[in-house]
Amino acid sequence: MTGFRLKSGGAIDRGKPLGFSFDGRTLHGFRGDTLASALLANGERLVARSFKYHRPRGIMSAGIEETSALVTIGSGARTIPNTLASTEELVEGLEAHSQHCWPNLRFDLGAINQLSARLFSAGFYYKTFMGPGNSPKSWLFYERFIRRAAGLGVASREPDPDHYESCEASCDLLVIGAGPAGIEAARVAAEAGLDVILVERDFALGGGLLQESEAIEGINARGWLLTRERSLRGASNVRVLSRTMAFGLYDHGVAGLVERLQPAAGVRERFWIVRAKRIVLAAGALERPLIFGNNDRPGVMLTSALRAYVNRWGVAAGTRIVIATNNDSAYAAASDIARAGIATMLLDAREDVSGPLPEMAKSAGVELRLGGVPVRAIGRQSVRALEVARIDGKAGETIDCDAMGMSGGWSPTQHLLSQRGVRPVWNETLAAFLPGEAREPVRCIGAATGIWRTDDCARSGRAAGAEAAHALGRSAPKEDFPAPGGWDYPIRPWIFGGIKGKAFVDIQNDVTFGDVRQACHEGYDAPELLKRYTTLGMATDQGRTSAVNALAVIAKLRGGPLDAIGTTTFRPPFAPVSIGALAGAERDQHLLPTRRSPMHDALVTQGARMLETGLWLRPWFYPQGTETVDEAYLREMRLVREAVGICDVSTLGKIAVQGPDAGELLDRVYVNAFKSLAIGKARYGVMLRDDGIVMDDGTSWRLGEHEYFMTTTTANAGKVMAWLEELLEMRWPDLRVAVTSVTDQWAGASVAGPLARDLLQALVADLDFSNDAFPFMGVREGSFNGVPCRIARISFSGELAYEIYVPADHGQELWRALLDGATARRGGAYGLEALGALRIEKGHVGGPELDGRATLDDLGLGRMASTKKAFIGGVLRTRPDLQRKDRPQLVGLVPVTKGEIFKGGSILCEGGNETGHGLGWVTSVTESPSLGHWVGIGLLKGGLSEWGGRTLLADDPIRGRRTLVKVVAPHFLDPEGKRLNG
Amino acid sequence: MADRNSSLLHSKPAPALSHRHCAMLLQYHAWPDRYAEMAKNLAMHCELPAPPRPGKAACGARAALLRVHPQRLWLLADRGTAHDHPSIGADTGAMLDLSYARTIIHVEERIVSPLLSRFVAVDLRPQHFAVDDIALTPLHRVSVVLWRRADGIDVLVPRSFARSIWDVLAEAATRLN
Repeated sequence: MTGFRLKSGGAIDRGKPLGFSFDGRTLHGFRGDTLASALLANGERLVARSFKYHRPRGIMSAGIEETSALVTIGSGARTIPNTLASTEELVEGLEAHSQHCWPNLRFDLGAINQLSARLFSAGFYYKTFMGPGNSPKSWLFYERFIRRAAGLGVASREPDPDHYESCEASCDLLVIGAGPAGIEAARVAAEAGLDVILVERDFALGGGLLQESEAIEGINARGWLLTRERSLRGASNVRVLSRTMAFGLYDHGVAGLVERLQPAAGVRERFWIVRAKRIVLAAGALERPLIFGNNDRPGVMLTSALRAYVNRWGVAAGTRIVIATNNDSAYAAASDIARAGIATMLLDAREDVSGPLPEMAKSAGVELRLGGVPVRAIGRQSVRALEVARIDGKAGETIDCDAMGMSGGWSPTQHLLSQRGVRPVWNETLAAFLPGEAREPVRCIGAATGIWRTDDCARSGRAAGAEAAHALGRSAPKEDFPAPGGWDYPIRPWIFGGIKGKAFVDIQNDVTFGDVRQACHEGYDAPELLKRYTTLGMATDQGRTSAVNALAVIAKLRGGPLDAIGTTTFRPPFAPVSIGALAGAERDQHLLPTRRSPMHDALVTQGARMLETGLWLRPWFYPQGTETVDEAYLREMRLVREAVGICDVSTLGKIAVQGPDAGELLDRVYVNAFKSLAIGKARYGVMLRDDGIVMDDGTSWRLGEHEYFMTTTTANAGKVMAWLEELLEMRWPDLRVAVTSVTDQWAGASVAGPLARDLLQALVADLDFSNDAFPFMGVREGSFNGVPCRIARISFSGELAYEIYVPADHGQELWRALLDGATARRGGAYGLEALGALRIEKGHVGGPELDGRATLDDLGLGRMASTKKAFIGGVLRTRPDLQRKDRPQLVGLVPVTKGEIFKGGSILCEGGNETGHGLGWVTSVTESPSLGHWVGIGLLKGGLSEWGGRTLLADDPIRGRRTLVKVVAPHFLDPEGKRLNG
Repeated sequence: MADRNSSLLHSKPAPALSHRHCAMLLQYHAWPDRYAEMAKNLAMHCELPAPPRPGKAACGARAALLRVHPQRLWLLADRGTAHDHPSIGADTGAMLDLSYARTIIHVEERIVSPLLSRFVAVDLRPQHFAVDDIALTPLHRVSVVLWRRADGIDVLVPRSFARSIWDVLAEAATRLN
């Protein structure tokens, strides 16, 4: 017989049937069911296969502690593997599949692993593939097969179609767990006026009360819960988050939560970061399995789960149930199950239990056997009998059953506290780890502190609520925290002798008693070592049911006390968190913020092809008709060289440097002098890092006695700004300088080409652009269309060129005027591709050359360095290694055969010696319409002085191209500067 | 002078969100020993009894002052030019016009908490972030200033990021709606 739905009972809504499927079979459940309860009710006992041996597995628990019933939910892009059937809320149309089996669940070829189980003992991989005699190569060979066999479910490779979001919240008190303790803590704190967030992993509040048949504080459990829930949900200062798991606690009262939302919300999961002044942990306790042969068989369940299925979901797991226990808690469970009309036998390892407890069980119809322990479950795909023995080792009997409960005691759930570094303390009387003392305002209550009676749990909640209220300056009725415990009879040690067959300590990871024993024999008897050697406590389960059992086994094998062994430290997350929840809304077009230039709309309207460069969207090129990028950029270069081109340079970093010591600051950060720069002049500057390597370059304009306008490269704008702020705050707080990013304040355009002067003169009539009035590197302030503008005569292209800036809101207006003017002069716009090509022709360094390794001398800029002042990097740039003559230095490169091309990234080497890293590399290349062939620049060991005029091979093994190139000076075009001075 | 062209001119409308540019945003930076004097003078100019404390704004008859930095005040005005406001000497500090550098996105009070809690780590509960409280915080990785007003929150966003920030806020606001 398998599980079935009882005719009455449970907190399900029998008026709301729900259809769902499991492995393609259509089944039915009710609203309020979990997938597990619905599967049990439909008689589905075999639901999964195990990790290593592919053993048949069923449903073992009714909550987060499930180790066996891992299934895949959904299909296609919405596939979610490794979902716990015991926590998955049943919804209409839910689609579930078994996993880790082939060709199907009942007939799984992987089960053949059971035959070679002896091979897969503890440390199998280490011994077989990584031990002596096995080279790293052999491991790399085997690894691919091992990885293919490893793991459980398979994730979808399709993009996740669902939405996720993250959310921040702050509160006075965060209560984690809405059982009787958590509910009372939240209620008392809220009534005292605190802002409270109450978090519950389940879709229903109540925790252990949901399966409780006894009264709480004299009131029927469901009635008590209903009243409290209504009051909490109605309170304006309480936020109740059900379906929400607290997965991590962090510094300063920060908690990480994941909330699962209903499909109607349009968001699948919400990631919460909660900042709480105080935290109450009411996470309850988890029942421990017993260790005996075949304790993983379908039908063998935790006793609390059997009770929960009867009381909460109206489902019986079988018709003849045997419950094995060593503690009092199983009595109430057995009684409830018997009252539901199921033949129930209670097998208590203790021999001295008498009085009200056994009387209660007997009166409910439970058959009680004292002094008996389970030895082995019998049955292949489902339990059909249990072999038992006497506690004193004498042979027992075989008892027919179709389901079995086990209760080896309870482990308070302290994972979140452990994450905060709080060590648990072993309590021999309760056979449980109890929470240690937290140094932060985090309070554990209820069953999480080893309090077993429901009334006492509620009382501890009230005490914690009052404690929080008092700590935060509110008043609340004070209550004492009850002591741990609450059982009539002491628990008995739960690792029994006489085990037959495979007895699992970690059911999810297929780690047996024998594996632990072997690991201990081999010296891996410390918890952390055992975990890594055997995989015990790994994966989604994270040792929730196995950790304490493993310690007990080690203690038994060592023959010492359990608390001498030590514990592992739990780390976040408490349970798996989806990648989607972690990413939140920051995906696709919102992965990162995008920066748009003030000219953006005008550029797009004009047909610019935009390119992401860092966060910025910049115009790459402006295609005409069907032009490719290569065709377009060459045309745009010609516009600049022959007429006039305009380019959006708003993205350049712009920093206002103001104050009496502004010049001094620039003198210290640039290698060349700026204090002496005349007002109305600009100067090209290079700044170094402390270690003497080039950091960035750009021009700085002197606008006034105490004001400079610094420009940086687009890529390094943020870095330079942060660098200046750090210098002023940490090294030179005495300097009276203010630095402010004004990148967003200004829209800028470069106007370059022989007709640049003519164009600007037409637009900015109040300035004289003649050579005398506005010389090279001059800075002027004028007005464009009544808007103030600032202009500098500087050139990146080698042409007569200016940069003009206007306030950002007038950027589009400026762009349109410049474009009209340029077009009228047979010029036009040029994009990033042409901008880069123009500077290569001129031999200016850019991002590819400023690669974090080059020095000033490497780039041929050594003469810029002032000898009259100190500057950052000035000392370390003279290190012997940075002064070596054979360092890679900037050179120009042209193909020996003019029609040939070569690529950036090619390795420069002597012909016939194309091995290793070569002599240098090509950094930037372009076709030069002015010269009629390709040109490039690169960094070459020894530079021009050693290789000038000689031929090298530009070897591009990745793209399969080899070109002979001649080493020349890097200034290909107008080295005398006639054009820019024109 | 030509009209100003907002960075959000072509943005799609979104429920409970609106935007405007800063008519006038002046930054006043004082040298450490001159801050008190500068702040007092600016408060007088704005017709405020006292300058705002750190993390606060104060609205005067002529302009509002925001304390955005230990040594800095931002002066915001709905109209006028920089010439309508005090200049400061180099011995006191430095003044800078940032009127074009920020765009203001206004979030109506009714969705302040549900919307902004999805983006910023600031405790926005009214008792913790009251009217005229300000906070400098990342929003979608961009440094913004939040300013609690009587009818919602003004988010002062760097102009180049305004469209991107608007888009993420608008998408979330639409979903909330």
